[in-house]
Amino acid sequence: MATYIIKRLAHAVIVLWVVITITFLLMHAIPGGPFTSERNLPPAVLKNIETKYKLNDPLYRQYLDYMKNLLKGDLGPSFKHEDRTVNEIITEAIPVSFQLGFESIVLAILVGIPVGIGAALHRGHWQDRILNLTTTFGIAVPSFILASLAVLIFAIKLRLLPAAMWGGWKYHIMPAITLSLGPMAIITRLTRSSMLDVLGQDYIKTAKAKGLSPLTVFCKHALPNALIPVVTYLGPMAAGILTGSFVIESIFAIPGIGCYFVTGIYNRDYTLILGVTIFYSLLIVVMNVLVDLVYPLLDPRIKLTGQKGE
Amino acid sequence: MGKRSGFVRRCLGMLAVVLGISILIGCGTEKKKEKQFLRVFVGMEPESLDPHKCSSTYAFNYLRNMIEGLTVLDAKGQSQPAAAKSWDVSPDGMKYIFHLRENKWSNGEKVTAHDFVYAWQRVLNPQFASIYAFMLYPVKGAEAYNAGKITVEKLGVKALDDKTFQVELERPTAYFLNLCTHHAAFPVCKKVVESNPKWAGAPETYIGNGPFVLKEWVHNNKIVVEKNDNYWNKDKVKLAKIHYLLSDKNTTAMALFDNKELDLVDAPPFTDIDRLKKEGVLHLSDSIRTSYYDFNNKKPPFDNKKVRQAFAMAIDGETMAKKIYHDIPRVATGWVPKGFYNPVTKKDFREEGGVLLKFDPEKARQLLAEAGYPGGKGLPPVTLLYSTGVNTKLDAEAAQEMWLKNLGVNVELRNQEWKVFSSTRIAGDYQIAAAAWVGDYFDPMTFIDYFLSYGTHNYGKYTNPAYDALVEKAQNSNDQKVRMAAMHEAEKIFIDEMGLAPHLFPRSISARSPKLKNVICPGNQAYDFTYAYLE
Repeated sequence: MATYIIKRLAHAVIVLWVVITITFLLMHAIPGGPFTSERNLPPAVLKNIETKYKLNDPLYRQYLDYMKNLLKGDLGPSFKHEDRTVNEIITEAIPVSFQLGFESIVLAILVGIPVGIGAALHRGHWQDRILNLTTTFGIAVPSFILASLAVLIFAIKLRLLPAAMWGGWKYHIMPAITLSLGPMAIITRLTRSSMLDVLGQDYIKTAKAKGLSPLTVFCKHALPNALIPVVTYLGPMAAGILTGSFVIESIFAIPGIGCYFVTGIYNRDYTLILGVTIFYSLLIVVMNVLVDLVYPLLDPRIKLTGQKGE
Repeated sequence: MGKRSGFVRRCLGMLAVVLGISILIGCGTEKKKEKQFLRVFVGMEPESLDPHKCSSTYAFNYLRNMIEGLTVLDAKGQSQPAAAKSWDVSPDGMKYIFHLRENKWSNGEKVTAHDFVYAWQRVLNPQFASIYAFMLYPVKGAEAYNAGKITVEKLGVKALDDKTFQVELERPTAYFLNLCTHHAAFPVCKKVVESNPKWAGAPETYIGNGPFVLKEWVHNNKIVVEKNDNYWNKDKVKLAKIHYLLSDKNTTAMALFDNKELDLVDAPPFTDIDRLKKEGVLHLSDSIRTSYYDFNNKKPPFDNKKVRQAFAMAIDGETMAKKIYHDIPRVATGWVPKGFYNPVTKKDFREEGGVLLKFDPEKARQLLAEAGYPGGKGLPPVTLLYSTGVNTKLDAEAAQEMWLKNLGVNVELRNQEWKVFSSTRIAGDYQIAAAAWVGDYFDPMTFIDYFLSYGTHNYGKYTNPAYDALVEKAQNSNDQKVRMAAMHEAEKIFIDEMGLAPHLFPRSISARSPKLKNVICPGNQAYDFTYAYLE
């Protein structure tokens, strides 16, 4: 297992290096820099700024400098937010996005899996059809529409919840639910289809033929196998949700990290773009390793060599 | 079964923990307990609250209420005494001596002339690389020092004693007192800044001399300021606290306003305008801003004066204002918008300048024919460049339709993201670009010097030696009569030649609770809540 993890980490370093290099080149290829604006700055002012941020160094020098600092764990100063470093920006915003993301993931799992199982067990019944319709709705309708609708109903009309901002539990209800609906629908569908698939397998028939109780067949044989595709999806989904949602965070004025993925690019805040990209990539890599570690717990046939056992 | 219920219990336990954490962390937006607690939305997260590092208008909105310069703007955009209680100006207008009032920083230390000297040297220091350093370029030696050509000793700022600050200028600058209201000219506490370069990043270390003091700053969420008990005019400050929502979404702010969780929303969404008008909560004021179609004077066919005139006269500003902007903007009748006061005649510069430009489709067609393109025939393909945005798109499409209808010219539209658009303009790679200009200070010069043949913003490369001469005359004179006359004359020449086509004078809008009184926001430069209160 240790060898496996070391191997995966070595892969991760290569993946991160490729991601950083491509991002670095792409962002410098977009026209306009951090200090381009409608207001054309006087030459002296522009020269001072470029010298301060080393923007007039050749690109390879800027890249090498960045990589050198990165090895020391320094993501550099933000070009836009002058008094803050990218490390500070990420560490300040991450707890908020993590908290909201964690709530949404828990909600999506707690609702998605049981409902998916229920649908599979009632395949073809009216419950299954209604669920199919609702999950299609959940996947198809963008979160900003659901969020705006929720604000209109629960904040402005019914005055039950605050319209935006971030604070006590009341502020979490609308963003957490709206953020969880998409993944919840996907988890429900995945669980349903993989459960149906598993229930039709021979080993389930064998288990039943052996005279095991339906509950044991379900809990011991069907459920763990049915959850494998769901767990596979959970890895990247968790990374996506934990790093914040630009739309939801922006609609509810939540001080998370989601907005920096977009504003960083608007502002051509080079160091911030790289910082959040590295962070996101790192999280995806870690989540995928975690998912791999969970597989053998669900299916003993899977060994951590990445191959199925005999 | 036991296993299964254990699983359920664990899940429920986890949910309880999550909810528990959520309740414990944070306490939400503060409920309105006291009466003089103002909650507003005036923009997004500022890039910095250091007056010499910030560069956006919204940052100025927060700063304005925490730090005070030598002078402040009144509702008409005129300079009034602030940190300086009075000043003497030499007859040639080249030297200003400011007498500071008894004035303290929020930590109780005295504000001295040395703080101003330190601040102005700081903002102009080439290593410090302040974006707005150019606002102080009228100061003697400022531009040379900022370009690293001279040492700081040669800069024309001096503390004659603790309470007397002397400034020498490079040339007479009649609007110099107005420049002193800008955040680039704000003082900083020398002792604090020298000991902690990151002083402006946290409420614990933030020091100001303004009516309010920073108490809380949650990035991308809120800034909370409270009344500064060390402020020189604290007895007249009625608000106890201001909560600024920091967001890039005015729709979010609007929802909070509708939910009575905000008292003021700057620039509410256009889709809400008619409703807000009906509810009687829409506040409208002139802003020193002009929207225009920028012609590239060096590229055919816009190197031809008559083509430029034809394109300008074919734009029906009134219809545009009504159909796209819910009747908010005024139709542009010149280049300099309303809101600049002529101290000689005591009139508005625009009003006395009269109507220099109006919609005249017939004349437009005639001019285009005279230029050799009757009905648009023979005209090379024309493209209008505009930046991404809902209104910019509608605006561009309306102009496209008007040029087709009134001139018979089919103009193509080209959209670019904001920074790409800005670099294209700076590179001069366009024929017509839809743009806007906002003045930096309350003197028509902030608009007039735009078209100097060597001006940094003259992207369209308009050149006219007669125009340059008039602007330079106004720049070098300390006599308001001479200056104003020269600027009027220059504007006439420019509009006659139609270096670009102004079409609207946008006005500022805000949704305000009827209880909110005494907010000052001259020309929409920055919201001043010093003497504001809630009824």
